[in-house]
Amino acid sequence: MLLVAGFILLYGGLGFVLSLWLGEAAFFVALGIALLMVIVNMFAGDDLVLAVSGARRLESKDEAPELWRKVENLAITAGLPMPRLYIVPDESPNAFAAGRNPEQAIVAVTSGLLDTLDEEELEGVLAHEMSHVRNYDVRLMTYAAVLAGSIALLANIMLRAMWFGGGNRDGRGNPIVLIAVIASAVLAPIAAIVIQTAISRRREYVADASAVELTRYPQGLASALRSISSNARPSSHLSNGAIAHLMIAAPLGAREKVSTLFSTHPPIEDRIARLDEMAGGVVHQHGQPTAARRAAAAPPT
Amino acid sequence: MSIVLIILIALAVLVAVYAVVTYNGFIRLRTRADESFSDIEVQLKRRHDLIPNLVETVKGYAAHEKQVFENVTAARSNAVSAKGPQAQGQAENALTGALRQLFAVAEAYPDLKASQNFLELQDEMTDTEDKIQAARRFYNMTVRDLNIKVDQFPSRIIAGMAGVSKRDFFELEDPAEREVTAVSFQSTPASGT
Repeated sequence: MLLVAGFILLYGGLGFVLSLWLGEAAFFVALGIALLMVIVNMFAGDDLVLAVSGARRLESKDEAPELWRKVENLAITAGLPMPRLYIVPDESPNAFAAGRNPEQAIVAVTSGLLDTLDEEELEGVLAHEMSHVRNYDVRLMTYAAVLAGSIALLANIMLRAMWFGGGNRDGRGNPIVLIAVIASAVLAPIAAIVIQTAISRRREYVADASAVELTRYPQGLASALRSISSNARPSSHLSNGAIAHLMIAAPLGAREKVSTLFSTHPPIEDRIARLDEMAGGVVHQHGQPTAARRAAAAPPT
Repeated sequence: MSIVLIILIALAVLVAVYAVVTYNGFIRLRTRADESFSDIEVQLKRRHDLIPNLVETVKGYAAHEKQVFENVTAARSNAVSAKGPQAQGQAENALTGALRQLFAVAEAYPDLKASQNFLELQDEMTDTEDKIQAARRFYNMTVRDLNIKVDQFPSRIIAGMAGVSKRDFFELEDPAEREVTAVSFQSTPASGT
């Protein structure tokens, strides 16, 4: 709530300075562009994400029965419809959710995830993604991204207008207004990104906690996060900035040891520590990875 | 005088708004509880439908284990006819016990264990039981929310007026219950510690 208020404040401030300087019309034009971005994102967002990641849709249960069943059962537990399932052909273990509401939700996992995680770990990761769906995080983060983007746009317009000696009204030549314009054009986008990533980090913790509510097995997710972070490889599919904030763990290259004001995910060690605390010291025994188990379970006849 | 009147009217409006919101909350929870309970029943029915087939398959290889078949069949018909979360939960637990016996018997017949049909049924059974657990968890979460609201102070007045009462949890012994006893102080390979 505080974060949303922050955005509104930023908008108001920026809009105020802008209209003081160039007139209200400029502000409304910028707002129109921002609104357009929201609409485009609403309708093209999912496809865009899937196109960027190169995901392939699973059409039927037979293609990956274990994965399908797990998602099906988690959907029942969470009281959600079955999401569409995708597999990203990528060695780096990771997963993400997309879709603006539970009816159109998408859950995607990389093939590396199926090769690395055992049953309970996979369940933890899927529960984390289903929690993003259940909590409408995808929609929230889309809005946050659009808001941050449009604030950057507004700031950009202001800076450009200055080059062309804008300020045709009473604001012209007034040094205080000029300083306010420069300061807000530089600071507002930074502030917007800080807010956006703060929301993102917060939602990750919430999704971890709700995942535990679904599986009642915190050590599964904790162990999965360990595996994911130790097996992470640089990935061309996933390190695209447009989808980094949707991943269960920030893709390699977009990760820092300490959570800074600009990281989309909390430090993975901290997430693991919180999950371990919930587990009360019970350690997960790493079993056979899901993909290997499927090969071994081929009927003997 | 008029200020007192305004305050009184404002208070009345507040109370009315609270009552409406709470009432709607109850209706939503109650509907969701009904819906999720019928979800459990769908899965239970799927389980019951699998059993005759399973019994027939095992009979083909182990015809003389009559007692086990009778137990399963009797437990199944009890489970089918049970009504209400509590009775159904108990009947299902008994059925789970009988089925466990059946699968234990199957262990002794290698031909049966290797039969494609049996493997598929076993797989289907496990899947159904997982789904029952999932549906049950959602139902119990809903019932928990409902019961808390029915018990809590201001909302219980509304519950009383609207005739909303507490629901029973659906209790089952969880076959997938994780074994917490297997505590290990060895680190897993993935932990890297």
